[in-house]
Amino acid sequence: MIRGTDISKVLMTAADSLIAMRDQLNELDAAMGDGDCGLTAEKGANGIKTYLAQNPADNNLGKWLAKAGMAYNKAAPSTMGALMATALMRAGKEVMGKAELEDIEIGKMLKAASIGIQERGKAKVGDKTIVDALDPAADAMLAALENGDSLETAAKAALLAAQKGRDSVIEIRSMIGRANWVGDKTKGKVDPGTVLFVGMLEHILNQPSSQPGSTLA
Amino acid sequence: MKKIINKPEEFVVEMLEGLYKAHPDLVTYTADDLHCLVRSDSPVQNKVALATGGGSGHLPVFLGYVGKGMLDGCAIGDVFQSPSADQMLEVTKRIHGGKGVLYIYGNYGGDVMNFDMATEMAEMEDIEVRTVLVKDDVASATADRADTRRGVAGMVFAFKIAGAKAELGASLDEVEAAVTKALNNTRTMGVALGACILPAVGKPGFHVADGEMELGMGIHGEPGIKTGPLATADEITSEIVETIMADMPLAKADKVAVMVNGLGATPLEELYIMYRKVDELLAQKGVSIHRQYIGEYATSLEMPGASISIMKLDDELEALIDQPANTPFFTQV
Repeated sequence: MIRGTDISKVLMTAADSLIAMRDQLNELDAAMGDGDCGLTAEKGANGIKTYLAQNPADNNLGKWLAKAGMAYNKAAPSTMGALMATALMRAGKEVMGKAELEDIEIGKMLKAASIGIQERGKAKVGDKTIVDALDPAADAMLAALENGDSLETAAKAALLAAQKGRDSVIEIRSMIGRANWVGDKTKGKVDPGTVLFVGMLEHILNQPSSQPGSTLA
Repeated sequence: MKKIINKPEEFVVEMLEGLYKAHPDLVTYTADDLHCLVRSDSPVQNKVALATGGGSGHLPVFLGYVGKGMLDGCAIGDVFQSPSADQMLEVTKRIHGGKGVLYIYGNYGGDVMNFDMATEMAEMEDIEVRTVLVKDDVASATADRADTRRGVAGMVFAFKIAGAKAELGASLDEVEAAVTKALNNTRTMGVALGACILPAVGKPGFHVADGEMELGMGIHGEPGIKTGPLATADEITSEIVETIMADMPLAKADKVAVMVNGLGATPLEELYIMYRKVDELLAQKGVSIHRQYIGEYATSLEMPGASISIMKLDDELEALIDQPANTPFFTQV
């Protein structure tokens, strides 16, 4: 069984990883957006850390996660903030009223987060956004868990799928958001959203950080 | 920039402080946040609660319409910026009187995203929330893309109709249906003669050249449909009314409500000159004006220009628009 304290630790690690990636994300974003992706991520991460410090996980993990999402958005009220908040809210909805979770529910939460981001951001796979790393990761994790694999094995499958997803959109043109206005110049550039998600997963799983493009033959 | 302000960064907060001092009997705020404005007698039990929200810079929109017979609450953001989902949620929780909450606001990306998030959070608190988006600006997209149109001054009609319906004890379904009908029957188009200046920026973000006008410009300076030499009041009014009627045909014996709205720096005199022509054009069509509103209802800081809104009335809408209302900026007895 997975407890609230475990999830709290994972979120804390994820927040620390966002702060650590600030400059890298800003640089990637400056090439195709307005260059504040890292700053926004850092602000939101600090919002989450404050929330986690003040609100220990309680018996309703769903509501506690949703409120963590609101804390993120309050600290970083931007599109990215809204998308991250939505991911946490939808993950929370998946486990509403529960105090402990089965492994399979982690996969379901990840998939719910992915669907939430797609709906709120009006983005789909192939638009060159965080969805291109997140959605295949969620699918891979869910498939592995349904197959009876351990959480650790499933998480590693998710990481590999996320890395491949990140790399699969490097050569295509951004189809959405501010980066869409930059147009063809986004071809060949790495999407900061995919890097953010992969980096977060690598930190959580204590894996070495991979270079964008590393999964390409 | 010439503005009567203290510090640009205090613009919104000091405006709100003034508003609360001026109207303590009508409005207050919740969650210790001045941006979360509610009726001073909220929550009103057994009434559908109505909320709106959006950026500052459009007074009396949005917060000027909170009061009996209109809205219950409003989340207000920085100049031309969406308030946060959290602020919208706080307003929602405070105004909920047991019959659900209806959000009515303009179709802008940031507002939609934040209100949708507030909706999800409110549902977790067991508050039923519905949304009706205002998309009345005929100049912001062609008829085949009407769903992407922006919300402008016509939202005041939506606030009025929804407020009256809710005050009469209607259910959430009934209020939603009435305001949806009102908006299906409402069109607006504006003209800008110049730009407005965001206090924090200090200079105009766009320009309308000397001697020119921009027909259909949005209330944040979004591009219009036609830029050209400044025409006469009659020519401008005719073009706006014709564009509206091409989108929403009016027939002999139809009844309408009309709003001639100043965008911030256009004198009332000029609005009455426009109204004179609206009245003439509608009379030629055999359309009768049941109610008219002439003044500043939805502005864009100090933008010179005006908009015209027309709402086609049926018996229900006519009865609802005649209901009384009492808010800081809208009183009808």
